[in-house]
Amino acid sequence: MNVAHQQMNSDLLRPLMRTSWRFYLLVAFFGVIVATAGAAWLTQAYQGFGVTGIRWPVYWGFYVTSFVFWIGISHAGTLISAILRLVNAGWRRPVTRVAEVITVFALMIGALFPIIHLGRPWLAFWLFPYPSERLIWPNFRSPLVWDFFAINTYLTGSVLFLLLPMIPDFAIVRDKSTGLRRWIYSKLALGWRGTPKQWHRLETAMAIMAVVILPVAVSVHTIVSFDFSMAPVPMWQSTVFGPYFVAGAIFSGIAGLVIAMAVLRKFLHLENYLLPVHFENLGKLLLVMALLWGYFVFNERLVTYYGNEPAEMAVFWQTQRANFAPLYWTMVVCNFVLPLILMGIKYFRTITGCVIASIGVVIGMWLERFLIIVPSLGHKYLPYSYGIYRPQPVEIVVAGATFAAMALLYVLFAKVVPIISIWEMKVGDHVGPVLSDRPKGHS
Amino acid sequence: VKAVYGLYPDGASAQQAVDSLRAAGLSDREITVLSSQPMEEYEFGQADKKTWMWWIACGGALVGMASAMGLSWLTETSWPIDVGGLPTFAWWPNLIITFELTMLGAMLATAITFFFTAIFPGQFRSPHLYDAEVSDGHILVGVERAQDETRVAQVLASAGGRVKDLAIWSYRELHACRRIPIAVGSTFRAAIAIRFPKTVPRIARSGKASPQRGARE
Repeated sequence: MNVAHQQMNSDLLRPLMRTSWRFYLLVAFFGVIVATAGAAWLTQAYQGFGVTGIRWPVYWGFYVTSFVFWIGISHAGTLISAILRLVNAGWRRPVTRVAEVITVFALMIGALFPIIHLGRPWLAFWLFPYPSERLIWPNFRSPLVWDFFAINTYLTGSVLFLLLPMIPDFAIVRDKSTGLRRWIYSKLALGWRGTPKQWHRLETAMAIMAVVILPVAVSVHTIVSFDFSMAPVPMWQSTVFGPYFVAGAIFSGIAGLVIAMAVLRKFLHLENYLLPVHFENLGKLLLVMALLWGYFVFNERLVTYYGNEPAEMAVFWQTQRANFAPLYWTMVVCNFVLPLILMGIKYFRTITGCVIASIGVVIGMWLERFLIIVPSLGHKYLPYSYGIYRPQPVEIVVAGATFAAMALLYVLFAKVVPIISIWEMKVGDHVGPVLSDRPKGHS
Repeated sequence: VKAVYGLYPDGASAQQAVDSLRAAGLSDREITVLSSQPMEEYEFGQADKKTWMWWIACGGALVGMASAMGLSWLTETSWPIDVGGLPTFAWWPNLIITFELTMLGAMLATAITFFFTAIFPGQFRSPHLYDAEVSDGHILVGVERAQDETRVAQVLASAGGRVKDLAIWSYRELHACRRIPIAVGSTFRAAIAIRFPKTVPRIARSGKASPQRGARE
């Protein structure tokens, strides 16, 4: 018997095989929050947008902030996982699935916001490129239609990137279970046996997907940034927005990943798999991204300051000194100062330190999205288009509940799928000889 | 179906078993190797490595690109919208849609190729050799249709394997190890059930091949 592999199966399948009362409690807790948000959204759909704080000239508030934020968080998984796969980083193995799941769920949640943001959400299908009876096609030159294509491409790719390596793990669950569970996982395993041909095809498919999905991930947040930089709004028309958004997305994604890993480690007792070294490595990445984020903010701010264009300077000072200054400086502390201290000093680069820094980054990045959108929209080129935005309870509930939705989806996923890829862990576990003098050609 | 196989604790002993079977006159096509992880470090893990998947992915990308260009051309010319004096069919903005659908085409082609080359071929073939202990890290080396079962069992045992044999696969086992697409439905499953009547598999769990194997219940 391979004791190590048996132990691995036992540890990683435990959450699937045993269900405690805490699972039901968690599902009920998050479920209630999500249901409340659903009710709030239905109220908004029934009563109209008057119940929200979104009104002229600030038409994008909490909803679009949350949209950009969640699309950013989605960069945690597939992008990080693909990079680590391509460079064959051995420490990636326990991390990849945890990360890829974040991508899929964050994209699903993010993609909901354009629909939530519609006055008549039941007409969302008008965005789809199909030959309707109105003979009107979507305007392919609009960044909003680019979003539609980019997000759907990324979502499709991320689902496949998550799904393909799950098949061998479904086979393990099938072999280790009985009754109805065995029947269900037999279906999901698609007859996987583990022949050399199947392994080669899987690894080739994953290599191709990793190569393809990297530029897609970069394109997605670049296109999201085009929603802003293509519009004549102060401090939006900037060529730095594309890379600035991508860097911010990866930054917040890593933070989200660290938090998810810490929670899973604690509650699913994965201390032997999610090791301090994983957190330390991700902490270093977080530090690099904090520096990169600071570099982009410096670029954006300095160029605006030297340009000294009156409308842009008005928004600039709003965030530096006026109404939005408390939020702005909180963002700077959370996104730059905190990670720099906690991740820069080795003593603090512990699991707790990484989690504290990551929570700060998640808060900071949400504020960053908010501060890009609202101050600029509330202070456009002419005084007649000045306005303020006050988020209303319905928006706060819906935006806040998305965190509960993420947690709920994650809890349910971890209940039905091994949250750490078992077969990939086994690859890391076994040591084989280097092929040298053996004849090839076994076919 | 008469299958004989051995379970090996590591890649080295599995490689030895494969080499012994070859020395006994079996071809690579007759030898089945199953593992719960890729074993590319070993020669037996190099089987069936050649694939057209990269090229098919490139083909899918080309199809995606052509679809995107066709879609944007057709829609923009059939319903021209004047946007700031830009040309009706503007290359720069269309490049974004073209890029996304190109990548989507490559990803879908990859996934479809994976399913058609690694998953679906096994769906409609005769019952496969399998043992759930593979999931515990054992490497299965066996012969699905052994002509000389005793000889094969001896060869597998000599390589240090725990030898088992599988006399016949019940519908239940078949059902567990072979996936029949839902779309094909119960008609196909019924046909399989007739072909492989419900029987209890006889599995000799001794260290040697059982002379009574193959008995139906």
